Amino acid sequence: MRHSDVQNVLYDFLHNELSDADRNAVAQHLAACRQCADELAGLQKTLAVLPHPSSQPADERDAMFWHSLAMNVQRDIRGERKSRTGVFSALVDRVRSFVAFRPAYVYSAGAALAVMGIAVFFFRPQFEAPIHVAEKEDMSEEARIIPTANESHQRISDYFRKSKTLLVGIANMRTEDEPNIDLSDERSVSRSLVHEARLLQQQPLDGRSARLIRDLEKIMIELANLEETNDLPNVELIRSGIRQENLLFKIRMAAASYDTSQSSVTDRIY
Amino acid sequence: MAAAEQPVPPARERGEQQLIQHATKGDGEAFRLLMDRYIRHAYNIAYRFTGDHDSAEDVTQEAFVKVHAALPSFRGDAEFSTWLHRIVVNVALTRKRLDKNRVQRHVPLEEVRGGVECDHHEEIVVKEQQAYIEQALHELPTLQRAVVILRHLNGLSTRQVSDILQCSEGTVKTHLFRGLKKMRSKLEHLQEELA
Repeated sequence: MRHSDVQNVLYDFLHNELSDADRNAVAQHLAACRQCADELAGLQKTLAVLPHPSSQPADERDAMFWHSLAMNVQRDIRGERKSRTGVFSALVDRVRSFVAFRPAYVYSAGAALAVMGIAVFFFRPQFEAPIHVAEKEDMSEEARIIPTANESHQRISDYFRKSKTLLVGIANMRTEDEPNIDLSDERSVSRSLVHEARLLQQQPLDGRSARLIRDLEKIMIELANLEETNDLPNVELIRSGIRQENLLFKIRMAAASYDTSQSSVTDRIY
Repeated sequence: MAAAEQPVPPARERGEQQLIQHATKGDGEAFRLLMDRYIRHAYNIAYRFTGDHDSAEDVTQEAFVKVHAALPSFRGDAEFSTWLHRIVVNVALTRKRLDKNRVQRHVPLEEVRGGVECDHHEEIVVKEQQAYIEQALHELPTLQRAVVILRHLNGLSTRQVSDILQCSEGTVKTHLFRGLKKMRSKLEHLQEELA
């Protein structure tokens, strides 16, 4: 047996996962080979300090945690079902898997594209098309609609403020006193916030805000899909989601980082 | 004569294949039962990749949402558990890459020592050891790290790991040996302390 063949099965040898024939062959090799015997001793030392598979992190969580996690998954599924198909999701996963484990292919493809881009740049047809007035106008229009950093911060800050106002209203709604609650305002505001969240997600965001906006989008989708009146069971579900995720606190923390010194006119939802 | 319709057994009594079929058709209870079967395994894998309970919870949650969305595309070529674990691994790796804050988790040990305000010497030592091990693990190349986590820390077989990572069993064995060897050099002083 070659050294590399033996070394690749040392882990299985230590865990008695080899066939009798392979085990005997490895044992014979180890008796005669100092190098591989040293590798075996080193492997034993390493395994001694690593956590043992018998102690698993899931054992540290209680039954309530698993119940809550399953509820959260089901809540997310209700939001997710509307936005993604299974086939698309599977495709995204396959691409991610490919990128994660075979980065060399990705780098090669990137390099090839870069070379092609350079080639196209240098060998492009040598004429300059005149810039029409309309194009200039378009460019200036484009420049105008790209938000500046301040506008962008203000927009995110406004989004958080509106979301907070809506969620506070939902959290404080007295469902027991009102037999017929009209939820049409909440529905329409949450629809506009879903739209706003999707626009915000197209611009650069810090990790915390991006995650919070994604979480809020799910809640807003659920709110937008409430029945117009008296959809109290779903309101309760949404309220428990707000509490469990501690959303109001998270919004306050995120909004604080976006609050600019210039105080803007308060944009009331109601 | 039409055959008499077989009564549908309660979800809890159904086999895995039936649960998958029913979950694919939108049976929430069937999906919940599948989740109950695998959520702990998924969580353990997520924890080993992310290194903390909060992130493991997020990854597990996101992975099951993806599993639900992708169920119609599950053809049964691989075992359901393998397919699910693959999704968990992908979500965990993507999250690690995207979450810039996670980079900060590689805290220098001097900070670990200084940051622990605790009189219990043993507790400090355990924390230090965990930090060393975690740091060594997360410094491995992606595939080696994945193999060490799945094969050793989660106790999956070589075959299962090769199915999850979609590579040969030989590749799994090679990466396991290389990954553990790299960790050995990083953890040498820890091994000496424990010896």
